[in-house]
Amino acid sequence: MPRWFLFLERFGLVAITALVIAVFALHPGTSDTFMTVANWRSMLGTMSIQMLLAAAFTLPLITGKIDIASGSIAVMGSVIFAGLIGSVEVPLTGALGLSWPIAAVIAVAIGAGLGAVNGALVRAGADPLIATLSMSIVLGGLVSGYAQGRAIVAGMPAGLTDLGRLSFGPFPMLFLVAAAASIGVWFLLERTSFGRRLHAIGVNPAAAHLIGVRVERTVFTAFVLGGLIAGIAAVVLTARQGGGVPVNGLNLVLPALAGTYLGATTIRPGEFNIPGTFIGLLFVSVTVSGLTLLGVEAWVQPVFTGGALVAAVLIAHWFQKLATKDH
Amino acid sequence: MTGNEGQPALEITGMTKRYGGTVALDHVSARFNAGRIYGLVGINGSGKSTMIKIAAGIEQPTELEGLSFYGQPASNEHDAAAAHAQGLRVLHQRPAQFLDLSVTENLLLPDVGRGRFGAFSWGAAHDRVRAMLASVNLDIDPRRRFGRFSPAQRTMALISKLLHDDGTGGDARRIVILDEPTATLPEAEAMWLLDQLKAQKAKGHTIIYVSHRLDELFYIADDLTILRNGKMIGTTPSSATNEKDLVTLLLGHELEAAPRSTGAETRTEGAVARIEVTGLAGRDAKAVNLKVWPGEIVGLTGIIGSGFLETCELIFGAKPRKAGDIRIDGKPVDLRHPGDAMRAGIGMVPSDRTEMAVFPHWSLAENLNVTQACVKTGSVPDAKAMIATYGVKAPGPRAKIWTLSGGNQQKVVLARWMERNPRVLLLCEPTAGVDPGARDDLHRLIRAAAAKGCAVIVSSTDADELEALAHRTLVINRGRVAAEIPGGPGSKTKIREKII
Repeated sequence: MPRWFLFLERFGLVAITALVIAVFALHPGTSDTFMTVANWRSMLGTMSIQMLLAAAFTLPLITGKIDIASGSIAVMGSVIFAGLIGSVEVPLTGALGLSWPIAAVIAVAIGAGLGAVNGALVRAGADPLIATLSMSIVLGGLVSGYAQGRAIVAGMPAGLTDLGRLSFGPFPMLFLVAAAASIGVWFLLERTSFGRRLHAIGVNPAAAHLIGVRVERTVFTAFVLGGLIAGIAAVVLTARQGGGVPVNGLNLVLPALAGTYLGATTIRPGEFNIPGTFIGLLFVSVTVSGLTLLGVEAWVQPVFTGGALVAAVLIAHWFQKLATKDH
Repeated sequence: MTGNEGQPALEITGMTKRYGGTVALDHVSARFNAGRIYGLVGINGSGKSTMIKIAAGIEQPTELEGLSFYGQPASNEHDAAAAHAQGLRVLHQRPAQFLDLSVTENLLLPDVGRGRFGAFSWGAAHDRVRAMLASVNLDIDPRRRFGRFSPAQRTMALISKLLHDDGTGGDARRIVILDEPTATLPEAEAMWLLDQLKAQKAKGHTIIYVSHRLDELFYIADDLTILRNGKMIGTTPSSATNEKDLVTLLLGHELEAAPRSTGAETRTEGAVARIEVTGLAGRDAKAVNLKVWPGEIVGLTGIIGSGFLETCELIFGAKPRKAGDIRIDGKPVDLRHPGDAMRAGIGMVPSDRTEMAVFPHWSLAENLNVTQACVKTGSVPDAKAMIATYGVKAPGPRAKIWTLSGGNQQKVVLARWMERNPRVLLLCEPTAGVDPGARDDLHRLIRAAAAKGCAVIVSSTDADELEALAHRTLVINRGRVAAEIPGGPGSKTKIREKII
């Protein structure tokens, strides 16, 4: 395999993303808005939720188990979190007005608990896609019941909403939280023996068992940790939206899933990897933002995201075929 | 005998294949006559598979002076379809099998045929398959699930498909290339398969048989066609040579004589066994008792389902143990999981390298280090040094594991455990599907482990291997140790007698 080809394969998406940024920075229709601090804050703010959800489901995904419930776990966590701290009457707790850091810990714990339910379902033999899809549907119903169809926004403490507004230059505070969590997951996956076990299970579960890995237990732990990170996403989501909004969690997780699969075509092609996921999400964000600034209508966004995902999967497949041709 | 014996079925002249700078085949010429069985032999990398692929039209040659089928030159655009039309069929290693579908579906798919109104008729399909199976003297019910038959029966059924895939069940002559069909079969089943194959040559079929098992080659082949380093060494009647001379031809040098010991010296009177197993039971094993002393290599053998393979898996905690006590150096241990066994100083090489040991797409180094990296026991070893120590032939530690030959992959799997200085090594079919050169290397590594004081258990259906390695061999029958055969020259004959 020629070296230029390997380089292209690894950094192709990085180059394309840089190109897109350059085009929108220079294009007369977008040049005066695209590179502004406000626009980058907006793009990175949206990305922060997607980065957290991607970090959450990458843990089970590395073991070969897809988890699409993390968006719904985040929404569930968000409305409960908002319910605990706000001045809105909610089922069970009423208008409790709990201090938000304590409520945040509860939200994260609820995320981990829901992750444990997913893990237990998969451990009992349920297909992971079906188990986490069912979980999403059930949580969607529970969210509607809990929030009674409205957004829980009244009485949000200033400390939390400030967190949602605070920025350092172009970097929103919430983006830094998401970046820290992503780096944490990256470290866990690539620099610890727990991470090696997750990879080993994903590549060959039978062989992993025979080198002493407790496969079922490890996969369960991956789901619990994924739920825990989705719980962090719940807090970030609430801070960003200024309350708990009962949206469909699947709509939240699918763009993150797209970014993750796009990311598997770069940095370490053929494998899900956190830096790659970041590039994938950035690519979608800058393109969508640029197109929006150009005045393209809103429906273009999902069409572009879906199209980019299919293109990425095909390109990755094509790369892989070229790479194995010599053998 | 049909009248066409002696007529060339497949003739290759001046075949050369280069991949970039490496020469895989160098002006190779060979002639395969109709109605004969040829053993095609060479160690990994000798060019066997390249030659087969070019003849089958799967790969294009760099240079080719001539290729003809039954005397007719192949067209310039020789491809897989053309080779098929000329009657060439290849049974690849690990052919696709649908164990949960019927025999009929396995033999007819994708073309199950059409009856009235364009609908598919099960009755007609079963009848066609019955005719195909009858032609290879295979008496199995085509309606049954494919997976319920033995691996040898399934292989033979697939061979009948190659002979009759034109749907006629007729007697068109075929050139059939079989790539290690017995690699995963126990010896008794392999012998049955070979006898069935011998019956086919009388019908005018030409069989080219690729295998690393030399005893089989001598049993089945009329002629041996030998390749080494991409060059044709020649074709010789198998009656005109012997195993030792053949190995010398394959390697280009003589095999080192195996150092031998009876194992008796390692067993001092009154000393505690390194591992003692009492009343071990699982699915196949009923009550296995055995003791192995430090430095001793003990063989375990038997037919499939006797429990000889399961014994290792049960000791290692890889399968649920129903009963049985295990003592290491006299101390009882409770091994419920491979992790427990590893902490007790036990290592296991599983029987199926691809399915159970190798992490594909990972590098050689990652595959070597995987136990240390995953279970955090001991420091991560230096992959580069290990490649040299264990004689792994590879471009470097970062090479992908699947680019290595089977023998070199197996060295990596064995090295993974030897690096931990295990007290007990359990090896299941350690050299299945491995060429003679690598097999010799693996045997040397296993002896070296024993010499360092490790107790080694080798589960194998290969009597040659047990004679070469084991100080004594236990034959397992119906889940119990039925016989103990002392090692040394000639022991393989006794082992074979006891298995049957």
